[in-house]
Amino acid sequence: MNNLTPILEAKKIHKVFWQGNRELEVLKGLDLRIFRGEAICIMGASGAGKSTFLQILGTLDRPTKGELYYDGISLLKKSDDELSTFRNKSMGFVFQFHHLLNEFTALENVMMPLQIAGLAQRDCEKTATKLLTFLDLRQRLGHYPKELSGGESQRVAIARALVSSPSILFADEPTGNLDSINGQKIQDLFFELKEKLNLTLIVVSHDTNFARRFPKILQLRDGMWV
Amino acid sequence: MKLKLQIILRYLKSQSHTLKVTTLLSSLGVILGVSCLVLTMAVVSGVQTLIQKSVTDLTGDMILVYRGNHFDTDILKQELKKVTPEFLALTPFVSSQGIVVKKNQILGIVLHGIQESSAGNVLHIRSRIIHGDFNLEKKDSLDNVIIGKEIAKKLKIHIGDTFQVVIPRPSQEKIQSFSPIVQKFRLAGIADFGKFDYNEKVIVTTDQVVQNLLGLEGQYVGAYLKFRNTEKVPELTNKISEALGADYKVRSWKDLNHNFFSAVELEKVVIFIVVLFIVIVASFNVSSTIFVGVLRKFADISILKTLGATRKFIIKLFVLQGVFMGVVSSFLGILLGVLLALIIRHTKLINVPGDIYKFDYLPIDIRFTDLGVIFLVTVLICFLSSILPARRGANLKPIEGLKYE
Repeated sequence: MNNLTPILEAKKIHKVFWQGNRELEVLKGLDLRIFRGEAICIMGASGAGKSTFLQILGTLDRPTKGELYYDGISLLKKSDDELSTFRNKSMGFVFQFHHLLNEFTALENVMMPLQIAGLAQRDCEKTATKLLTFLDLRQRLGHYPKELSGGESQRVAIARALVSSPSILFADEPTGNLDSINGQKIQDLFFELKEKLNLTLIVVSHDTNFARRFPKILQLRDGMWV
Repeated sequence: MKLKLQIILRYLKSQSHTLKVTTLLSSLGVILGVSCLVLTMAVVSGVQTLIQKSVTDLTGDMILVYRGNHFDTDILKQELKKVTPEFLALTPFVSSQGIVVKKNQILGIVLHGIQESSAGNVLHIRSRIIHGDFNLEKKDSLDNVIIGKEIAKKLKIHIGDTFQVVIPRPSQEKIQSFSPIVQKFRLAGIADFGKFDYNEKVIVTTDQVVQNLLGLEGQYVGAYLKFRNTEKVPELTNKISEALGADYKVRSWKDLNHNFFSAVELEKVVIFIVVLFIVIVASFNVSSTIFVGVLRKFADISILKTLGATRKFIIKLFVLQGVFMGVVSSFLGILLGVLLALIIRHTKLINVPGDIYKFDYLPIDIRFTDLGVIFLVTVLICFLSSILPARRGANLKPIEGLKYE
């Protein structure tokens, strides 16, 4: 695919939830074109539909109506299992809460996407160790999530999101659960990694300071772009 | 598979106290069910083995009855060796029906004349003696015999007592008439042949005694055969019968008690299915334990799906938990069952009325094939019981579980 083809393109995305008999339209025909290496921040008030839209872009949920393309290929025609495999190879996710697997060490958590992909144990361990060392977590490889601080947990989660070398990194309020110092460190890390790995970065946040650092900011209100 | 096993083992290890108790209790149900199965199968197999051994101890693994006048045992041996390498030895016999007469009491019997020199290679009568000795030598011009314990009981004969046996011998002149031959014997030993009809009918003596009574000088009516593997003998019947031709009637130990063995085999299947219901009921607990595990791991399932785990991956993960519980529970159940079976066998703890069941205590035979079938069926049941909760986990959308956090 050439540089004129968006890496991710959403067309007329609608999402409707049902609360009993009441229909709740959260997304009202959103369009979005994101090119390789772009960094965008989606902002909006609580309930505006930011997270829902991010989940649809990340194939974690399906829209009620609309189309989604990755490098020109329709993603919504793929089965759930095909989408899982696609996510494993092409997408990384960081959430507000680190969502690490509590029964596994930091190293094992980061190895998990590679192991799911079926890579050899030794290769997984090597890649994960290298990444955690880069993120200054060399001393925390054998620690369990409950033994890590909030900032460390979030860095492990970032390492896990990046270990498969995805093209797109999605982050939903990645600093929302951190104090200002750790939050700042994580923000810096996002941009450092974006440059270093030529990542496409799609972040949802209502932190205006964080959003200002993005070249492109999109505002969402009541399921529509402002 | 290694990753899935690693995940499940971590989950089992890190379970909450409540879930650990639930897992333990549901596994305990399977363990008890499996041990019941092991014990039941050991008793049924024990009965099979007991009766089979009774037959083979007295008449070998197979009986050949010659339809002609005389056969050569050496030639027969050579032919049998050619037919199957399973063949080990044979001993010729001659037998006749007759009547025992003692103090105005009479009893129909079968007089077995065995060749003493070769009988030990095929039969195990000596080990069946419960009173007296296995001594068939002539003493004071009287031939010694071994009789079944029911004959001794009915006619009140004791070791050293003498009694008469009447044999009907076909008349040389008139085709349809018989002339009775009477011979006196001394009782040398009383045997428990393990089967009621053997114990109330069989009298064992030497081949020469029966040959003399019947006027069959040096002739035998057939031979008892011994093979390497008794279990395989019924399969060899047709092969041997075809090779030896119409001159011989061939019957395996199973043919001699065909109805009994068929009935026991059918009963074994029915009892297995009935007792298996304990395991099936216990497997519902396994199913609910896995279901609770799935509910508690909604978030983790979502994370794994976000990281790229497919539906199949999640199904395999929780099915593996069911199979793991099945393997561990059936292994422990088999251990417990075998232990109980061995205790019952060695202590003869459970007595049964011998005159009804033909054995005085519960016979126990632990067969690896029985244990193998029990193990596989239990693991299969646990596998099936884990599919439903595993599918519930697999159907979870990635975002669903993350909302629960």
